[in-house]
Amino acid sequence: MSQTNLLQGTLDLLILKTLTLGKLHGLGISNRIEQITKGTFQVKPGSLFPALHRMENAGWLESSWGESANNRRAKYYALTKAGRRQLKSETDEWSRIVVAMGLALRNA
Amino acid sequence: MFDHAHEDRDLDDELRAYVDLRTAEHVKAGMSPDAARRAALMETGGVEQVKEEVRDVRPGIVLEAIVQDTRYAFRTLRKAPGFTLAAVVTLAMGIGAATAIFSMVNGVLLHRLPIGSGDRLVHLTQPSLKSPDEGFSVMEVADLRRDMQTMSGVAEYHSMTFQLYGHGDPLRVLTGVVSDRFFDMIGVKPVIGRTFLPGEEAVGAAPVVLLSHAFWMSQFNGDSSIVGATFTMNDKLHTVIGVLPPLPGYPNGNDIWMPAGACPFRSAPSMMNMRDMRMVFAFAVIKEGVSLERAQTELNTVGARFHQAYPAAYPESQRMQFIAVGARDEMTARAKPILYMLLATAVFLLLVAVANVATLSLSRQLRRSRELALRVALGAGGARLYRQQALESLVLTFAGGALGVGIAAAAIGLLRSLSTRFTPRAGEIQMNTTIFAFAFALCAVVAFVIAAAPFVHALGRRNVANALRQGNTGSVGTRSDLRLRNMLVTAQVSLAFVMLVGAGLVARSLVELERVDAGVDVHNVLSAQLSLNFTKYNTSAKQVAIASTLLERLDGLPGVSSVALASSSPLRTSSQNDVRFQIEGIEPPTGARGPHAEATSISPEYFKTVGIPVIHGRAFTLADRDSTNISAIVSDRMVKTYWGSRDPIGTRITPDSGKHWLTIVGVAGNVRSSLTDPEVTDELYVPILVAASNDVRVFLRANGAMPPIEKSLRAAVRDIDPQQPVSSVQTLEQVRGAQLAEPRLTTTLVSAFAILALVLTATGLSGVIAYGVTQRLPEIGIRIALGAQRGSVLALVMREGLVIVAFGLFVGLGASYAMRGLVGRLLFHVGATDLATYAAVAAVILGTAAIACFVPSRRALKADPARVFRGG
Repeated sequence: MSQTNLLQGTLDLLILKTLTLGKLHGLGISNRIEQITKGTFQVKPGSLFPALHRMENAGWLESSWGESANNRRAKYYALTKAGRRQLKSETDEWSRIVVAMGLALRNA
Repeated sequence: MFDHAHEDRDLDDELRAYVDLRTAEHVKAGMSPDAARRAALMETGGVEQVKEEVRDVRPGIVLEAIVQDTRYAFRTLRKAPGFTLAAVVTLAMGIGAATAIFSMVNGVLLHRLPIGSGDRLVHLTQPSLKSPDEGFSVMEVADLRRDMQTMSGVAEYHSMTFQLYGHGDPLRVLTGVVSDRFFDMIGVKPVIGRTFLPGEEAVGAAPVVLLSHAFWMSQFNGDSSIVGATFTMNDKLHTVIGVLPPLPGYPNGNDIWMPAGACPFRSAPSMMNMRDMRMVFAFAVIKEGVSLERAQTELNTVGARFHQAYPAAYPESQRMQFIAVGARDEMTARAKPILYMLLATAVFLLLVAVANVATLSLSRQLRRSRELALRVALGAGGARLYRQQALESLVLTFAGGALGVGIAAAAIGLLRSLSTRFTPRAGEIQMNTTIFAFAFALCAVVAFVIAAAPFVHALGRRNVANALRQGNTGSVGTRSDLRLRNMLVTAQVSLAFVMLVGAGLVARSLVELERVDAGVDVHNVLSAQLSLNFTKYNTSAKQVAIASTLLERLDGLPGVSSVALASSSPLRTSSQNDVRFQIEGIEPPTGARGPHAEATSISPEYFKTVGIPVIHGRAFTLADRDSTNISAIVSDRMVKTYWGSRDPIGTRITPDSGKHWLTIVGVAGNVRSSLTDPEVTDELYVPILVAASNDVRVFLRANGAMPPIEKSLRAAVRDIDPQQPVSSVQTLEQVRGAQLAEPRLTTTLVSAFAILALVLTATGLSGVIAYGVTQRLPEIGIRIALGAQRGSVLALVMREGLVIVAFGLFVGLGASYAMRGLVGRLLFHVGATDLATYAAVAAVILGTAAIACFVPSRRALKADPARVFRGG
């Protein structure tokens, strides 16, 4: 399975994006990222959990304990208002980078 | 804030849930439960590591970790009390010495003068061909004050002794006599009362005095009701108008101050109205923003104008000129080479101490490498480990620093009083926030350097597995570790060499100084100063009368074998009364200065009492009191210089162009008043019963204990004149010792620092060898088993140490040579590159190093092959 290293800051954006549809637990986030990137990014717990806790400390995420689909206790993460704002600004930023990189690569 | 138990539990639950969910996914995909769980755990990649990384993103985590690590540092240090004690004491010595010496440098050299005019205060001098400073006349000072545009004020100054009555025993008080605007000019405000007012220097003005701070404290316990009190001084009632703040004892350590008119000599019409009657000194303050050079340029212009206007007062042949010298420079000129030397030595001691502790902590590091490697393998971050070691250094350094500052604070009083020997600014040496800030900054730098050692070591240690694999020695030392540590020890050897050379040179110089023959026999002679009340003994006849009475009364004092009076003391450091004279029948050489000598009035038994031999002719007798045919005695070298091969006995000399003639009756042995003076002092002796003086020195050669003699001397003086103070009672040995106080201090401090450095270096070296022996024990065991000789085994393990020493000596030699200028200025009769000293220091270091290497090497000889092979 091919993997690409996550760019610094990209993980945050991906996590925020996966949470726009509703709250998810750690494994759910990890699976969703793998799914929406078609397996390009696999997020290991060693990167995922520090990122989740850091983003929670930053006030972008809030967490709560809940039951999973198969009746297991799990910690769920959801976007806060600040998190939505952050997603917006990071998305804009990302689009700018993509355009800029695209231009650069085409024209160079 | 730092209680994360709940969060940790929560995190545990979260990760467990993750693993469970993942396991469930795997089971769903068809794996057996056990295999599914294993796979989930594998993917998680170490639950503990994940937890550690999550903890690392918690807010405040850095601070928290530092607190934890500091606790950890204390704990590990407590577990190694030997290392901790050695490191703390070593650092305390280094930081203490550096802080103490810095407090001296800071107090004496780094600040502007503690007066309003600061460094703009200058001493005006008037050098001529015959004297480095002729001084100034009252008229000259007044004219300079009027003419100098670059100066905000010019004031006159001189120092004299008065007698103060009505406060216990009569006191001899050293009195600064100054222009009334002096204190306003230099910018000094009184702590209580006022300073002099314009007009108070007028001759006949109401007598007032200012007390110096030290005199006020010592004599009146800082009693502020002193203002307005009156004291009789000499013949007049003086009113205390104020007390000065603490000031440098410059130009003299005056007890009290009076306006210029209070001095009857200076205020005599002949002094006041003659341009060439120069008896005062001149001080001036340069205007703000004006450079010394510009002020000097104006002085040159004004000087040239004076020379043109009053040619008689400035004989062309004397090439007189006005020169402004910064007061601050004058106050610190002698102190500079001494303080630089002490500072360099203290800094070197600190460097040795730091290198030593760095070596110690590196060795400790080497011993702990397996533990550290294990912790890295268990997930400890390299940065965290390094931080823990850095904190350990920080704790050690600040503990050492606190102890060191304590030592410095305890020593500062002693250093201050010793510094009075070479600078009037000694009083400014004190512990203050600057010193504490310095010590703090020093600790920070030292901690950083010591912490850097294991860091550099860490860079060299790349392979954790390798460390873990190390076998029975329990330690690893890669080539780079050892190279760093050996470099540190080499540096210590070099520094110790430089310091010992410095100490050796100043010590040899001191020995030379102690050996200097002053021409007098200083043993068993008590001396005392009787400064006569000049208003009471105001004629030569009265002075002769009291001298005569003193001689009669003191003769036969119990325990005294001979008694003498003189107008000055042997071993005085400054010229008192340099007199020029002409010899009858010998033309003075043209151009040169002509015959001159220090004139001293003495009583008949002076030579016998102070132990100067009479080489030729005779000493004075009580019959030598004829003021029309005055007898004189000259010192030996003068005869050779001025009389050549002629017999001086019976020849006549005149000090005043023929008004008086003195007949030479004897030749006395040479004396040297300043021990460091390369030349002996030419002396012209005249009978005190003819040429009396207001400053009478008493000399008593004792054949018994001193204290009762001092008591009977005081009683005798009281009998003769109850108002006469007896001051400076000391033995001639003490007078001589005072000249050696400063080199003795320098030598003691420099030697103490150097010896400490040597001891530290020896322990560092010992550590290297001990480590080498531990490392090579198996090899040595094999060698011994194969029949190696003790000598060859010893040579094997000591070789490393001796290579370090040889290299250290080589570097030290170069450094000492490069720094020869620093010590050179302090040396007397010893060259800064004195071969004997260098050789002796090299021998001392080699000897010490041999012992330091030999002691741990002995363990190698005891290596038991059987034990070694068993891996013990």
